[in-house]
Amino acid sequence: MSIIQVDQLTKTFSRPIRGTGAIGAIRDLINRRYEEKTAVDHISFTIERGEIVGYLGPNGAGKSTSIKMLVGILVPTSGEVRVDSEIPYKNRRENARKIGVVFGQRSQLWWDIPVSETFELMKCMYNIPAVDFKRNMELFTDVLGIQDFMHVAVRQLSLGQRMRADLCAALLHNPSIVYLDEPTIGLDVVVKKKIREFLLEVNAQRQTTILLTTHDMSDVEKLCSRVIIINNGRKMFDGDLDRLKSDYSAGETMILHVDHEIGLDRDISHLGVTDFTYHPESGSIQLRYDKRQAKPASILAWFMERTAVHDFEIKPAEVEDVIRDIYQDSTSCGLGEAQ
Amino acid sequence: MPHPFRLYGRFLRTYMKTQLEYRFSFFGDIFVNMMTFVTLYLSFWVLFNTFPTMNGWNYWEVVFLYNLNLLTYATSSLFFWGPMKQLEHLVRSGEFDQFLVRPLDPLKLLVFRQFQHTFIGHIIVAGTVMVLCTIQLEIHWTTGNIAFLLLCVLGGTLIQAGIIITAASSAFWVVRSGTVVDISIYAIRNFINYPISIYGRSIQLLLTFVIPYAFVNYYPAAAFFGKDHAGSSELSHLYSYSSLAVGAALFAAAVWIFRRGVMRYDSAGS
Repeated sequence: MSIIQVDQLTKTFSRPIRGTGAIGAIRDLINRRYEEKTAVDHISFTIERGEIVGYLGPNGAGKSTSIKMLVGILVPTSGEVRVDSEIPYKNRRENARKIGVVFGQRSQLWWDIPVSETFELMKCMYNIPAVDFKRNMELFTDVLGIQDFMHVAVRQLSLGQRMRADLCAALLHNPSIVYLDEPTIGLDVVVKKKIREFLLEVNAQRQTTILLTTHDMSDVEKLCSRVIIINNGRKMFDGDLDRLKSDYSAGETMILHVDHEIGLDRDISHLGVTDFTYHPESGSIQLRYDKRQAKPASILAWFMERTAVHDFEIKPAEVEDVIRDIYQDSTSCGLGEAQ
Repeated sequence: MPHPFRLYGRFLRTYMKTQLEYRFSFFGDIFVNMMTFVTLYLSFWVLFNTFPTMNGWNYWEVVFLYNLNLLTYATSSLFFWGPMKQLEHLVRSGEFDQFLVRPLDPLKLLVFRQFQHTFIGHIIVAGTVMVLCTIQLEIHWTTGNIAFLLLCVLGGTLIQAGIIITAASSAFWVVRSGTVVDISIYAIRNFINYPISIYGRSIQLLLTFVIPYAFVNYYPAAAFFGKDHAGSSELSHLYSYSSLAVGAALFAAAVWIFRRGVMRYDSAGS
């Protein structure tokens, strides 16, 4: 039985259309018009226990809205969500006991009190047994390096410290599912690395299911075994990273280091090359092609017949490129991201 | 399930700890609030120098009446004023999200998180004034009238809480819910500073059936002093003993409305 089941999940917001200027404002008072915006449009997927899934999409794609329905903050317009066989918005308290939530843009911690007090409150709120609490604190403070700012008030923490404290607070009660909305936003590489290691550790030790949204592709590559990509509220892709690359990233780049230029005006489109630039300062030619249409070997052979090639390299497409392609494929019309 | 009282104790301790870091401001808040009400009672005194009675109520009786309003308002406000005043902001900014991901009812969590110590001042004033009223009005306390008054205070507190929760819950439907709260707990509540028999019929009906503030002080106090009711009918004598029932019903309705609102919450999606 999958731990998360999402079936035809849809969320529609109706917002007032505001007129401009004084006349518009008066007209709105008398006759307010609404428009319907579908933020999440019939999305379905299931997630198994212990998976780490990246939930990706451009701004305004509906990521936050979907996560808010999964955690029970928002009530779906239609469709169904089941988390550990319960409906989150109907059983908020039972669901909350089993989940941990971190929203990168907004701290869950209590602003005026020291980090340690927050943890004590969590202990009491979730009824965490003293043994578990102690063990978790040891593990978390060790991996996340929290002891340095344990007694500092939350409002005085730096962004990186706050994020680490937030993560710790969200995981103290051993949740079986953790939802992370942009957990590494605005953090430096050292903190990012710590957080990734921490998540991998928790996932490995406890089979914790993790669903995260991020714009940082290295998060995806280091953490996620699977990605779900949505755009305009619809699911565009669901599968593992390798499949994402093989299905979508047929694009490769070849770099040839050559002696001299060989006439940029020549037509080499018959080789399947889509983009072709010569960099005189490094003496290199950069070529882009679609792997499904072009043979790298014949491209290389074609150049070697005409010039001396000292060296060459082939770079597969970065996840970032792949995802950008998917985003651009689906024609985007702006819908402000619901934070 | 953690014991709610134990959890509340934990929150309260944490709150006090942060407040007492600024000891001067903590006691200053309480003192300023006390002074506000001392001034208010003095203004009543000035008023009664001109008119010795108000519809048959003398100065100390009106003070007693007002005091019931103050005491119940302050008791309810210790718990509900802070979170309910904040609700508009929380809902509009989406910060209310965090109350929906905890293993605790969101209304309870709101209340637990914010105790409003400033109302301790109101309660000290109300307690002192109650003693003064006892002396001035030569009230003879019996088990019967003590029990009656305590139940009325409990009922009144529930009414005050019910009204502020209902008003604040409008945040889930309208944008400027802060105004709704202010009108309900300041403008309209000011009507019960005096015996409602001095107002017209429509206001009496409003304060009895729509926003039942009259059950906070007027009906119980009228019975306490054996006064004639406004529009004294058979039915209205029953009102004097209905504070607790009205309070319980109103509070339950308010909690229900709040929960309906939570279902509509759109997390700053608008």
